[in-house]
Amino acid sequence: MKATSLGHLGWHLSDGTTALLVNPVLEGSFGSTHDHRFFLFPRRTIDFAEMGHVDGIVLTNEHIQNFHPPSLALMPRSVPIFIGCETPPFLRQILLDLGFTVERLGHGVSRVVGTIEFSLFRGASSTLAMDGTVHSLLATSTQTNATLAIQSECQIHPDLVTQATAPGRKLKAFVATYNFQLRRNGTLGFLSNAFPLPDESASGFVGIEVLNGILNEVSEHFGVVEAVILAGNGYTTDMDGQPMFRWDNQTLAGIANRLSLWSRVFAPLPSDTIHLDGSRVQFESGAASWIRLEALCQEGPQSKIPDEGSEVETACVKSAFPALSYERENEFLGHELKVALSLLRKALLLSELGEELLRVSSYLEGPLGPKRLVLRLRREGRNAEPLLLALDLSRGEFVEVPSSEDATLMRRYPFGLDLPLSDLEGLLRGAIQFWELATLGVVRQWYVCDRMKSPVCFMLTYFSERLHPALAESTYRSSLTLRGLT
Amino acid sequence: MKITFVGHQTWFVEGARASVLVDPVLRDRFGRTENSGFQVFPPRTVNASEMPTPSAVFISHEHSDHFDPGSLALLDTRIPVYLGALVIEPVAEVIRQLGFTVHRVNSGEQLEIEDLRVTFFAAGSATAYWESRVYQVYFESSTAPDDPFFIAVDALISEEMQSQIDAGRLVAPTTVAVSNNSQVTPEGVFGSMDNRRVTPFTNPKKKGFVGLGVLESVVHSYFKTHWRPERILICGCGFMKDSDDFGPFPFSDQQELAALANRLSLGPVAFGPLPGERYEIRAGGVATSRVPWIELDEARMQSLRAMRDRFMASGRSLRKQAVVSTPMSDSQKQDHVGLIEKSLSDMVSALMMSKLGRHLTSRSAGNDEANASSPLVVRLLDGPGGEALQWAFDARASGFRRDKTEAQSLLERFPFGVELWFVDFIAILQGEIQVWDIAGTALESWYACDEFEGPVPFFYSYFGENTSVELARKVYFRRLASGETP
Repeated sequence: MKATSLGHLGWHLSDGTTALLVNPVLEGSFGSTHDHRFFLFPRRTIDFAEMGHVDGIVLTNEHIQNFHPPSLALMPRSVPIFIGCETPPFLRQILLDLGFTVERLGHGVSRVVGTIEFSLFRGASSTLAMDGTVHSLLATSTQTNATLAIQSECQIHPDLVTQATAPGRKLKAFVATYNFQLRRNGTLGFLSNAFPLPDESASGFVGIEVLNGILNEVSEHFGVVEAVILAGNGYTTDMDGQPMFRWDNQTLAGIANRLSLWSRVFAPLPSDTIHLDGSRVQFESGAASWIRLEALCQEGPQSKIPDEGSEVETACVKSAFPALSYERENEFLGHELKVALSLLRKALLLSELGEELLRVSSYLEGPLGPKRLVLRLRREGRNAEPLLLALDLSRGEFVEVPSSEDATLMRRYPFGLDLPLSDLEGLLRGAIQFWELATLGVVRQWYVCDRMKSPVCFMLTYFSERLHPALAESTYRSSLTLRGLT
Repeated sequence: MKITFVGHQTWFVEGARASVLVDPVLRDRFGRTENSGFQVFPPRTVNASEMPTPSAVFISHEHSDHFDPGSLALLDTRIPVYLGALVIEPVAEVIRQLGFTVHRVNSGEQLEIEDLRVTFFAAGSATAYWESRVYQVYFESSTAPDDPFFIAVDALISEEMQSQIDAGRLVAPTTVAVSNNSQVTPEGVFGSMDNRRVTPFTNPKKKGFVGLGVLESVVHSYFKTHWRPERILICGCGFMKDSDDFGPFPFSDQQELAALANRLSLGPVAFGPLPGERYEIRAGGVATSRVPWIELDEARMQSLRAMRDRFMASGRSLRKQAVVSTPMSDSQKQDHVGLIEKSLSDMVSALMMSKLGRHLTSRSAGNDEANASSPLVVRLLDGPGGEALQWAFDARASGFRRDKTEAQSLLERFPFGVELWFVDFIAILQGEIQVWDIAGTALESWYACDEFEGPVPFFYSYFGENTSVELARKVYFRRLASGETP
């Protein structure tokens, strides 16, 4: 059995004449809108005709980086698609509407296609809520028993470990997800805190901490694994193909290998193949001729990459959508926003962020009243004043704050979320996902708590596919419409 | 300083020239008055006209055993009323409607009244969500500066007060009033957070040395990470529900608990005050007396305790019944099904962001397409046609759907469940009663998690005042309009 990287978290698994695709994003970019795309990095072109036949497609989750309906629409409808037990029903419906056969696999239940036996596992209970619908994949060659585990974006479930290490299987490699999104300028990207305090999670030898975390998690579950494959962070918002994140996988793998006695870490570029059947796992560079890396990357992924610490161009994106018309803004503020905030406030109060709001009773200007979180909705054009809405804990609702407070928001409110009004409108009508807005850099926040409880983390969970399936479904159907693939 | 216990959790604190009345419940009952309210225990009569006029009233939070508009109406409206900043606004609106002036105070804020200095503190951060808006109050008298008094009230000790003590800005209180909120019910009476499920998670409240656990938590572990006061005044559990005819709660006899605690103490002294008892804190000691304006009905107190003892010896069980007694026709019930389904749908995102939601989504969503798992069921008794109606939470689809599981299979099928009466749920959704009105009376649950993260705590949190402020407002003003308050 061998595994070829398609880029980011996509794989082509093959064993003899059997071929499976995992999370295929076959085009160069993904995204809900035409204007704001997320480009696979390193950039590559997949020659679909040369790829050869496919016997099945496995989707480990419905996140936008992994579930790409336009790519799936390229596939013959006779290819079955397999999803996991946690996958939301809307994803299945989209695929059914495209004409595919969809099979939902139970947690850890094996399925055999050709000579590959595979199963999907839900994440361990420690998985972040926003990743609660992600599955890991275990694939085994029925010919050689060589086994590959793909973590995907969840924590490893103990049942996967049990099956992967069961007698008769030879766990040869584990694909670990590198998902620490430290930007090249040293900030935490959408988790950055605009409040000017040093962030310990982005200081010191944090790269060692991250790498150690990834590899030690593998060791904790499996003991020694012959090969660990690093995947993830394989996209960028930069049209020129410059990377978004610091420490590419190849750099990390190189460092890890110099610090290992036995295990090896691989970081395949798209088209690189890992061979699992031999006595030792083998790495073959550029083995898949149907995947062509663009010139930039063929010269080496580091060759034209700007210095670490430089700003990325995406920081200039101000909003994903243009300013709303006068009529639309009034309509949105008068009804849709009120309804949405009325539901959001209750979820917020009962969330980890809500606990933090209650916990903080004093701030920079002394004791705090009932308003501790402010939503700053930026407006452009004619009415450039932002709309300021504070969550009043004593009223249990968002109340408007005078715009005169705008200059002092961060001093008055310990928690804040700042995004364009037009983008919030786009989010609430299912035109874009919150993850996209955050990754584009149009969302700013400040907070005085752990970053995993911050306002952006709350929004990522609240507007996740699991909690708001109708909005997510709308964005995926839009991605098809954009390509004329309804 | 003189501290008079008025009953349940009401205190009258006097300095040399000023006094503060805390959480005035001056009538012999509080809460709903239709047929399911609460009688104060031990029974006593407060002659409000003979009570010294307090310099101020402080209301720690919005629960009906602390905020009783009928009692406030007995007071001179010229007395200023103080409320914590996070106490819900409808409480302030009701108090203003009664003619009082309301003053909001922030955590750490101080109020000087003649020789009394009063400091308000927000509850400790690990306090249960539905008690998280509680403000605790610290009294110092300029005539006895070394003997401050602290009323801890229904919450964990404020970290802010602790830090002020640690920093030397406050003297550690030598006398503390703590609340025994155990509300243990006899065998045969389902307690508010009891668990129907017979598993290792079964609520152990009725097993073993329950009273010992209560006492340990109230007088010892409550202070474990803080200073230890010289004197502890135990209050709380000072009411009986109209609907429960077993009498006062077991382990609510604070005098007996205090006496037992003192036999096992190496220093601190516990007191279990009866209504009308006054404690005068003097240098080096305390003197007790009775105030003439509170008349304890000792004979009835003994009679009620005897009634409880007879109940416990009888082995009887109490049959639950709906709190709302107004009949509702089948067609009226049918008309309300839509309201229930809309409310459950609105609740989904808050449920999924809550602690309970994390338990629900950390379970497998089911093994195939046809059998999505439903970790939670909401069952409403005596719906249209007298039949129970129930809705199962579908974790995969993130929504509630009608369910037909037979009653005897519910515990086996659903790891989490909550059961209440159809008419009561409608009354909660329409702001006619509060979730507290059915707590321990007409609300039962089962769960597979910590008791503070189960369905009933979620109902407390979601339908309670802190999240559903609009429902609380309706209830308060409905009661005012009904003439309950003079």
